[in-house]
Amino acid sequence: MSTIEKSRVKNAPLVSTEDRSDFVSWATSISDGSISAGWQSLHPHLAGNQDDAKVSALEEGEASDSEMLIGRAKSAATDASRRSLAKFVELSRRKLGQSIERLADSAGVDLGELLAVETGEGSVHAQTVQRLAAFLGVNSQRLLQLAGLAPANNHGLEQAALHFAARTESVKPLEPQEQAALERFCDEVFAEATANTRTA
Amino acid sequence: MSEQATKLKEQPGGGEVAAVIHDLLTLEALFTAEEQWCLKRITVLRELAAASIHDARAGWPQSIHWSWARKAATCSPSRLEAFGDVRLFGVEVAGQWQALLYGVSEGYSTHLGAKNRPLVYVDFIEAAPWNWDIPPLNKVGRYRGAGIQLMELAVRWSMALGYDGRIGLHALAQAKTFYANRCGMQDLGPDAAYHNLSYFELTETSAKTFLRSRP
Repeated sequence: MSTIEKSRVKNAPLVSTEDRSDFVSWATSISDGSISAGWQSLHPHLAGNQDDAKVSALEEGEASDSEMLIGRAKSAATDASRRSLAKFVELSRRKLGQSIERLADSAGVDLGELLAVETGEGSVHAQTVQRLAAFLGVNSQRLLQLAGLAPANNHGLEQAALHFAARTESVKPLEPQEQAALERFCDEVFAEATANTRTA
Repeated sequence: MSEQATKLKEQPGGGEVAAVIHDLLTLEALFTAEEQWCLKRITVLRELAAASIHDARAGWPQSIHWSWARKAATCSPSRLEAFGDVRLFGVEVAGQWQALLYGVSEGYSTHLGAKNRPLVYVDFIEAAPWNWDIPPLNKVGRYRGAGIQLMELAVRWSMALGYDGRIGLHALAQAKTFYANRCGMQDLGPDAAYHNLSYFELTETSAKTFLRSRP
């Protein structure tokens, strides 16, 4: 089913024309007094593996709250490192079959910051990276280095990050709508620029 | 928002009560519901304290700390729009919300049978606090049938999306019997990736049986 078809279904009321009397009779025959499903922590920022993250941070001498830094601002963070961090988190999340929102909840991190991690853009705090490391069961120091939040000084790590970022770039053929969007973008942007160049 | 008349049964006595199933709720409904439910959550806690049941592991309702208002506040309204992935359902009696369901249509897939087929994931479902069974307080819920009718809507939504009725959810421990026995869902055991809550899935076949009221 296409996205457009799905959106139609989504907005279509589900009111059944069938006779529901048997179902309703059955549904109300036994108590459904305990039906809660889902997870909600006491507070979003107290969720997840906070204790694990704290232990990890203490063991490895990580940044305290006052030392939280913006990844983009740290010169040690190469683009490849940040991109490899983004890819690593995205692929790990998909391997777990989790949505971004679910991972944020599970790992006890801010949704906006998790998006920033996966897109490689915007501010990311050290604590967020530490919590992700604790949740994904990986070395938080390494993840902090990829985020540019801890000194790397490690050529091997930079090379590994570079190759990982390169190897995980998609080689899938374009979807039809992507192809159409690309062509339209080229028509609108480059054709005009070419015409302007010729005129000049 | 669309509505359909239905019935619940009131305890004690088992008398039928007119109710309304609501589809395509807005986030505002979640705030309203929590306004109605939060005082009752406090009442339950007060009753547990009065009964000297201080240990939360001794049968406290496991969703007593939930807040649908918080859920609403953290959900982008765009997720409820045409291309969004969230759909909200509720059952109401005389202006009071009796149960709510927060379903998600994208990003989740099957663990049973052929893997990675899409399903509707029930991110949250809860009955109003006055509908809870609370064994340590010898309390039974007031209205019966709200939760299961919401699950019916989730199954119908799954069918409408072409997911053949497949549903997935993570149940709190106290609700496992409901999903296994009443809904006919399969318990795949604790999910280490999601707070060790038990993951349940409803197959296509079980979905059809569920709608025929014979899990």
